[in-house]
Amino acid sequence: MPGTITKRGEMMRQYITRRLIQMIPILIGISILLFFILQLAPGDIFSTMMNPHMTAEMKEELRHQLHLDQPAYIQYFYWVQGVLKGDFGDSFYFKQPVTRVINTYIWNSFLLSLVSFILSVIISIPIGVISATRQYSRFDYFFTVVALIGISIPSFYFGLLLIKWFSVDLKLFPVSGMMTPGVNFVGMEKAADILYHMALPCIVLTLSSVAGLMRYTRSSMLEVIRQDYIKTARAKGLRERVVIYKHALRNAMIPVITIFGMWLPGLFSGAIITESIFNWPGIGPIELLAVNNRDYPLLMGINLILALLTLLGNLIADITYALVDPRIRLK
Amino acid sequence: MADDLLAIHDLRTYFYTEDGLVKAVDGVSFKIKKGEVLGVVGESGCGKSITAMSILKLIDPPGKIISGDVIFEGINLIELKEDDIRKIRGASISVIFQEPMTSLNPVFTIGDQIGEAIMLHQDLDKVNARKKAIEMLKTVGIPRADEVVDEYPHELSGGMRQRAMIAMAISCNPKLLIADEPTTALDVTIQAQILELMRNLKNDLGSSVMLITHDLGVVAEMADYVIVMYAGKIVEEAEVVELFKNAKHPYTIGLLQSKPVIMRDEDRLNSIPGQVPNPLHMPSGCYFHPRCSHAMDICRESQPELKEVCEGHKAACWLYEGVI
Ligand SMILES: Nc1ncnc2c1ncn2[C@@H]1O[C@H](COP(=O)(O)OP(=O)(O)O)[C@@H](O)[C@H]1O
Ligand code: SF4
Ligand SMILES: [Mg+2]
Repeated sequence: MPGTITKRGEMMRQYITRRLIQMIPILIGISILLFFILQLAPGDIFSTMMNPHMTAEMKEELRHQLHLDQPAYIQYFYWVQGVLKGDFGDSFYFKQPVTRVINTYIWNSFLLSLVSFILSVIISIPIGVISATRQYSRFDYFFTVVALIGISIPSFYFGLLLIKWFSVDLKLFPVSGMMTPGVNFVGMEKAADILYHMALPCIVLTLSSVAGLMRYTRSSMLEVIRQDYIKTARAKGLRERVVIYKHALRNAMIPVITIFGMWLPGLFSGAIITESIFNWPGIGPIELLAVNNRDYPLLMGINLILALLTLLGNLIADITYALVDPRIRLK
Repeated sequence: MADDLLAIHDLRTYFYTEDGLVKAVDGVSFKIKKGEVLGVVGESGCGKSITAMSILKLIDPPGKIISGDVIFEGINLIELKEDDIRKIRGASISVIFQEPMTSLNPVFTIGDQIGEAIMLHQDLDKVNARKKAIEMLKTVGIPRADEVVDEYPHELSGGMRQRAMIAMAISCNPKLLIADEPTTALDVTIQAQILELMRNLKNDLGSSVMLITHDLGVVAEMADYVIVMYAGKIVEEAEVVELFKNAKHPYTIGLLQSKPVIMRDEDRLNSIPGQVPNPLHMPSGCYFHPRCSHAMDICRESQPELKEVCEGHKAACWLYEGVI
């Protein structure tokens, strides 16, 4: 009925606005917490930077310029002042604006994570469903073992194994990077080149997330197919396919879909180990670099974005929950 | 016989569980006449639901229908392929389950769920199926039927949901309606309303009903003929008046004596001393002997057969051996 739909839409709009407003104080709190936790770590950029040309006086001068000689709360206010103007400061290490550094790398991470996320969903949900409908079959056992391997094999080991087999021995895929160096592909050729480089790291990331998602789908589905309404659906004379893929799956996906929202920050945070092994120019290795060099502005920038994405992810999870489950009311 | 709608012969449905073999339905035979209400009674776990679900071959592993015939309108349902029996499910034979709270799918509207059965078995498109669904909701006495059709199960009370279930079950004019404890989960007043509704519908549609219950009060009100089950077997059967007046089997007598004045008293079935036997370790001889005050030596050694004890009245008990 159109009346109820507009009413529902209106309620949804109000709900989302309220949640977005609530995020502001939370983000402020998180930024304060982050800032002071980072300050607790001993040393600063100059204690790790071994520049032989830099004298003690020059270091002092630079510290003063960067306000590093001031108390933490003063530094925080300088930082907030900048952020309010859209300026997250300059990365100590890269000597570039933090926003530019993040922008350079984060989309590469996003690309890799998104492709592997989509692949994991496409692969693991049907397998989870079939495993549940044929519990204890050979199919089920096989993928139970696959999941076990996927969960327990460390990604650095699996990554190196793939490089050894497919890049070194078989020479099917490049060893590392995101594009063939020295060649300037455009359009489809560029896309193909990136896909070609993405294949191995993508397999590593996909295997580990398929394992979890598959088991999650399976257990959710097993729970649902025992329910009375599945018996009702069968007793109506529906085909087994309709019973499973309409009546059961729709219910089984409710808890699964809601975890997708939680994955939002993960799509941007970069896979540190996998990206490092494959030399993928993502944000993961940059985070490591920032930590090692006490690059506070960069760390603050990255972490704040991830905090924001986490909050947005939760909101998205709550909204999808309400959309797929009519019993849930947004309050 | 011509006026039999359903004839079940020697039905056996076993469960191959990890702990061992469970003979949930162990050689059951009965008939349902056209327009008749058959009451099936017995304590929880005696195989009533599994008997009913076996009729439609809706037994999930580890359960399996081992043998038997289920002749419905001259066709043996047990021999039908999945695709053929599906055309009978929800059409000529439909089921109402015990739990209205969980028997409807929470993520689809009432109208979708009723319409689904209608579209499947009658050649109607979505729009007409919806119209028919509203009509069915009105038939079962749901107020605001044209709004309820778009509501989700959680928006309705238990009684209303059970009415919606009934609407779904009768939407394709079934010849046999299996009602598995349709009122057990409901309040006493709602129970009476639902029974009243079922009685009226049955008369209007001319359907036969297999009414499963552990409530003898419901049987007395609704049934024409009664079978009493214990541990997967029929232990007594007769027309309803005969059974209530002249119960023979000690188990049936126990059930009748424990029937309290107030209908929904959870304790009443416990007043037969002892417990339903563990299906994995059935007693020897008559399955009821550990609880029977009349048990004799022969009862422990050998199983009595279901035999006529007086005209139109059968019981499986050594007390009546050689009576006729
Ligand atoms: N899925 C199952 N697995 C193993 N045993 C079962 C299963 N379902 C039913 N049974 C057995 O079948 C017997 C009869 O069950 P049921 O027909 O549901 O009893 P009721 O008379 O209460 O409807 C139970 O005692 C139980 O042991
Ligand atoms: S056969 Fe024996 S034990 Fe069984 S009911 Fe009859 S008297 Fe009781
Ligand atoms: Mg039952």
